Amino acid sequence: MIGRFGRRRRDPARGRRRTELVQLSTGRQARVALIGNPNTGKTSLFNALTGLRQKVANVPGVTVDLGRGRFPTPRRWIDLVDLPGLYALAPHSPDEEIALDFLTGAGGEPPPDAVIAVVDATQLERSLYLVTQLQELGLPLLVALNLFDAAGAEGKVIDAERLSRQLGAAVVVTSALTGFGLDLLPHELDRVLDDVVPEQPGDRPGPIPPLRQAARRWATAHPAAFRDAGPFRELLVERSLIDVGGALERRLVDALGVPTRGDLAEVRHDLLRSLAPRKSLTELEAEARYARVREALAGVVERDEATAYSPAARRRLRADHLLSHPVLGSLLFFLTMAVVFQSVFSWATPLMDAIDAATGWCADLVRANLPEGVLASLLADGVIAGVGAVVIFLPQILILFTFLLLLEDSGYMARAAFLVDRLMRLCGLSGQSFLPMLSSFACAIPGIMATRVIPNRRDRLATIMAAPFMTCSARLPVYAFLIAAFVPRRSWGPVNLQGLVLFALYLLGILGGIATALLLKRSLLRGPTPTFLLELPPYRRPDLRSLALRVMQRGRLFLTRAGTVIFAVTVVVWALAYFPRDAASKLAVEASAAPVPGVSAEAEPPSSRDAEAAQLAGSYLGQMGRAVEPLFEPLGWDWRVSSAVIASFPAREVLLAALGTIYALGSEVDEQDAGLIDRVRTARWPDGRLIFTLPVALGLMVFFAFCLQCGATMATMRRETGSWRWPILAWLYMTGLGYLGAWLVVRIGSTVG
Amino acid sequence: MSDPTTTARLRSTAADRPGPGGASPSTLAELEVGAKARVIDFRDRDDRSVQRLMHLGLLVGIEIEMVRRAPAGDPLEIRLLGFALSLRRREARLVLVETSSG
Repeated sequence: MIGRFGRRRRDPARGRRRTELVQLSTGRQARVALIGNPNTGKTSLFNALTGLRQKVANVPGVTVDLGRGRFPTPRRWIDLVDLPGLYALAPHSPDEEIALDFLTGAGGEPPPDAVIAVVDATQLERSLYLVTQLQELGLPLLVALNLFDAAGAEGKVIDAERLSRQLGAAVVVTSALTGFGLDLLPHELDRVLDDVVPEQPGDRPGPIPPLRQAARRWATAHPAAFRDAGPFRELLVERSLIDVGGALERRLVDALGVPTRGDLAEVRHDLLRSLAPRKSLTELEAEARYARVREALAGVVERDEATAYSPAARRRLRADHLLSHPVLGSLLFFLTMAVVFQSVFSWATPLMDAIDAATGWCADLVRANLPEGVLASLLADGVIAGVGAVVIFLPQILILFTFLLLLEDSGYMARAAFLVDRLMRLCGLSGQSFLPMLSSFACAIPGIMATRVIPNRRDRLATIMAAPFMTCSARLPVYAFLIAAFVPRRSWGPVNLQGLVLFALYLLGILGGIATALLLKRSLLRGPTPTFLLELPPYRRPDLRSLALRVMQRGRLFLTRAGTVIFAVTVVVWALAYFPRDAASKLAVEASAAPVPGVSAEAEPPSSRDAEAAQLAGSYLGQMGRAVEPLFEPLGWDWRVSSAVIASFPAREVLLAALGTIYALGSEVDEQDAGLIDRVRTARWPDGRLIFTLPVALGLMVFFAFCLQCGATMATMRRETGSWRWPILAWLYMTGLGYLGAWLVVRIGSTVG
Repeated sequence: MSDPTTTARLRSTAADRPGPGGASPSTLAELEVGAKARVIDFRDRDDRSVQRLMHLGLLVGIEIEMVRRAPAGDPLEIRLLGFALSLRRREARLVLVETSSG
């Protein structure tokens, strides 16, 4: 994975980086892990350090994406890995497991050369707890005292030097938000990497000395336990003993057999009998470590926070009260969501119009300058028209992501989870499912990946199955297009009908997801209610630089998908629609063109609408569309729409590109000045009836609301659940539901209308 | 104690409130909004949530404040060691606390 940094082809800042590489070519490399509690500004720090030199990469073997980036220190390049946030080395979710695996080298990569522990300066006690655990790993450690400015605002004066001395670790003071301390961190990191006396894991005494001895004995007696963890074996055995019913215990049982569970329980029991019969090992560990943390903190913080009731702190508290108010808070919550959706729809319009104009201009340019033929058609009707139809919705996606990340970074998202937990439980889910679900409004793929934070397997699966129902950014272009084409532009004050229909579609997706989760939790995934522990971080000013970086990253991810999957599908669809150009169809073209007299066939080959229609009808796509037309006829779709829907099963956003291609080739309107909207709006059945009546258009929207038309989502589901069982089930279920929903809308619509 | 409505009713009965000058053990779930209490024991130390609470610093002797309840009365927001934590009533019932009237 690290080697990939060597090949940076499509990199805008390549030139600058190359000079840096030359400067540092004589230096060394070091792999450094960035770790800390959630909400400590860890990712902000990561972004501030690595800037644009980062990428999202997969951990080999497992499935979580870790942020990876580089930054130079005076003496070396640092490959920085942003690990998932965690409170203790006692994993409660797959995400936390990955962090522990990365640190101990159990994840397939060697352990890091050093660790930067990000510590929340406003939450020293709790965040230093993890640091005391990290210290025992024996890896060179640098503590980044982040959010230092926030601590100052709370009236806390922290003596970092004293903390460093009493903790026995290098400490650097940082604020990712203001950039404070970021120039010092590389120097300190070099010092830690070069000067620190090498330690072995387990050199430092554990929190409970007899436990360490017991772990050592057990590890010696069971050489197969954590065989790949090398020097970290004893530590991992110790953690397995402490963490009753945890992930490490489960792994030991998987590797060594079921009796291991009883074996571990016996060791625990014997230990506790001599230490503290009424307590647990976790309790003893936590007590010992918090005592150690308090020792390290003695005299470090001046002014207790109890006395630090500044006007700012009081304002925050008042805002907190207002936002968490039972009635007002819920109202504000829905208001926020409504504002987000209206903004996405209205703010993006001017940008979209500009992109639309540019796309049309490019296609015209190609048509005007290239000789009529395969190449011109491929470029204008396949490539430009197709990709343009997707890129046009980038503004909406960027706006939506900006809102979501803003909510997340400001600390509001956790409050929202708190507010909606009871509600989510009615759907059989938990407040922790809220964030993955909300992310799924942008894209189900990160949403499904975000379900890792849900410790309970059944909750996680139910969330994964419900997530694809949320209206993702790929559905947005489809909705926006169909709404713009078929829903009248009518408004009552600030509310407009188009926005209302969009809101209804969002709601429909939510209801579909809820019904699915409920159904699953009552049937396949029945079980006891899982736990819900969630830190409610204080409201903070979001780090706009880090936010911008992440929004750009998501936008780029969407574009790469648009550029690869959609491009490929667009060209395939274009080819399916363009070919075969055999003698027979040419004859048909000429025959149908013949009745037009007096037109020179030299400069302007037969562009008769009938001829093109005949060509498309005879094409592979037309044949496929015709073959399935009877199946989709109850939904009011002709073979063109059916073809476009078929083409969009790998990725639903392709619908537009497919429709664009299909109608650009076979449309009955003048293609110079009319947009796709007009073409679809005026498309007719052979008998002259309009294809898209309002019910048919609404039915198509409902179909897209429910149907699982996303190969990437299915692949992600497979990765996350470990088998094809769930994605296949989801596909069958959702496609069936989509068909049924569309059919119902068309039936009801034609009865009422 | 298993039925939420029972707990809700218990909360409002005078018998459940700490007597003058004395202290009465109850679970964290029963704590009134705004009340402070000290952790005295746990019901099930091997419960996954309890283990996590311990790592977060919720240990015997720690003082906790009940900040608020979500609109439906669940989950709860508590404050300990200067940070806010949300937990469900089910988890809060595993933590035994002692309220003092002082």
